Amino acid sequence: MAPIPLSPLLLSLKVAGLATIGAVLCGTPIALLLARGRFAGKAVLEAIVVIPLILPPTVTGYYLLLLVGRRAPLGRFLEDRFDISFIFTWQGAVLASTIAALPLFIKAVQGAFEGIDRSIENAARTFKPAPVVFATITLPLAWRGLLAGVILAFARAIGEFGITLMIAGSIPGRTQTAALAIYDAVQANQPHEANALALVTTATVVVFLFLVGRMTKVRF
Amino acid sequence: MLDLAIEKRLRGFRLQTQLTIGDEVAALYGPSGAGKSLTLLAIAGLFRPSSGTIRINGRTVFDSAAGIDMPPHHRRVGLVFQEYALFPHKTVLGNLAYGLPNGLPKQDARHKVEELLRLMQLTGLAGHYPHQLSGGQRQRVALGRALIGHPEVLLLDEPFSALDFAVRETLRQELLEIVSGYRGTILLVTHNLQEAYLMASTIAVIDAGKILQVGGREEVLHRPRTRRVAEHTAAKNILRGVASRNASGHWEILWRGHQLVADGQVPARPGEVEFCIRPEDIRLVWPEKVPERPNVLRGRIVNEIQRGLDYLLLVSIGEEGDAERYDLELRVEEHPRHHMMLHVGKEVFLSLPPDRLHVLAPDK
Repeated sequence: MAPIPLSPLLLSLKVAGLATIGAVLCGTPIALLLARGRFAGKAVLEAIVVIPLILPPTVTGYYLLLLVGRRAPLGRFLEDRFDISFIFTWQGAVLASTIAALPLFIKAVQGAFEGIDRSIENAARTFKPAPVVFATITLPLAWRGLLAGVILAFARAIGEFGITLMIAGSIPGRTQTAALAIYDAVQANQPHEANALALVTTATVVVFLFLVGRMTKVRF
Repeated sequence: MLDLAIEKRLRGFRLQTQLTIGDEVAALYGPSGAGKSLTLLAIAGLFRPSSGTIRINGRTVFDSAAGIDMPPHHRRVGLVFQEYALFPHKTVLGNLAYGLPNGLPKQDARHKVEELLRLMQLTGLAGHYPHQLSGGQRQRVALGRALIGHPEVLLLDEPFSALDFAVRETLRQELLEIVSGYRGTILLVTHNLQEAYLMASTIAVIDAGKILQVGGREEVLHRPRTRRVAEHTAAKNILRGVASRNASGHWEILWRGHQLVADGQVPARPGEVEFCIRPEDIRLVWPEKVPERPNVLRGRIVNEIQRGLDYLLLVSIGEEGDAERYDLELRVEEHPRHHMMLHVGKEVFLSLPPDRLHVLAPDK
């Protein structure tokens, strides 16, 4: 039996974990804005948010490439100023997974925020400043939606393939995540490696969901 | 003491509220969509008017011209919502303690909460969650939470509408008892006239974003300022006649061939006026007592509506009229109806007491 190739799996976990954090940090304010805000262009923002969900991943990846590539102003600025490059790097894989995970996270959390009775928050606001109300009332009441969003985001990030391939490539040991490694293993006619990777990935995701479920008593 | 004059334009609706209330229980009464709740939210700081001022005991909490917009938690306003809006993830204790000011020593905080639990008859329920409580208990928790920080203004948004008819009456009394020790302004929002009268000493009638009349509950009920107020307070008999001053300086209204004497202030100029009398203010007169009574009319009962505890009699003055075309509506109890043998088709004598005949100012 061939040894289980651990490095793609570890990279997958690292990339998906960071992408989930990224989705939570960027997605929560956007979800709050969409759930609560009343502003011109809300419908446009609503549409933009779901674009990565509908567009073929390669197209999303291509747009990202145009945005943060070495020749793009934003990409050059980030590289010159902060020494961050997304092209053929694991950071690129994180960016790709974050973009892929965002719509799912935002939709789940937006729904949770919209489900909260506004008068409960209003009652709280007569006692405490708005940020305290958000932390002590809004977040705890949106807890299940937030958790669902995190799980969806993580699952989507683990399975990310197309966008990652477009901007980070599939460099073994550097940007080759489990999903990409399985593809390469099948292409190279290495069924043992493909099987091992598929099984371990599946097991990891199932265990992850189980643990989250245990911790929070949410059933799937 | 609450003093406000605010304005806000919304799509298809304009809120333009002006109101001054002392340390008393006042009711903001009007149909749904009149702007009652919006006014309440503006006072609490949860809805920002486009212009105007709001003062609480002389403190300016909102002044658009001066750029003052105090956040809700600094306004010292207690708010009880329609469905109580308790925090579902917190216990009774947690709900009450949320209203305590920050930085209060633990000992004091516990003392305050325990005192409130006793006052609200919630001892033993401190560890319960809102979904484990009855409607009345929820209301007491909401009220306790609103009162724990000693607000200067207490706002109640339709506090009884979520309750069953049977418990509503009890809880009104209970609420009145609890707030009887409260020193401050209480503003109650309701679309129920009886509730407004029962709970409040002052009633403000609001419709389409405007306050139509503010006054003592008797005044609003019996001396509505305009036709619109009369309609909202169910004065029912809104009539049209010609007013003139008689030789002794009293006002008389010519209506249906009768000269009716009206007491009190008649704000309108001589000429065509609208006036009203409530269905419960019209008196039935025995035929032999007719000469002793003022403003007696002869009519015929054309329809009667049984309302459970009382009857509405629809009376036509003169010979014409039927169940659809009648002149006056009056309310009688079961006992006099039986005693006077009232029935459809019977001829009756009605007296319209001059002090209850009220002339309406024209609507703008």
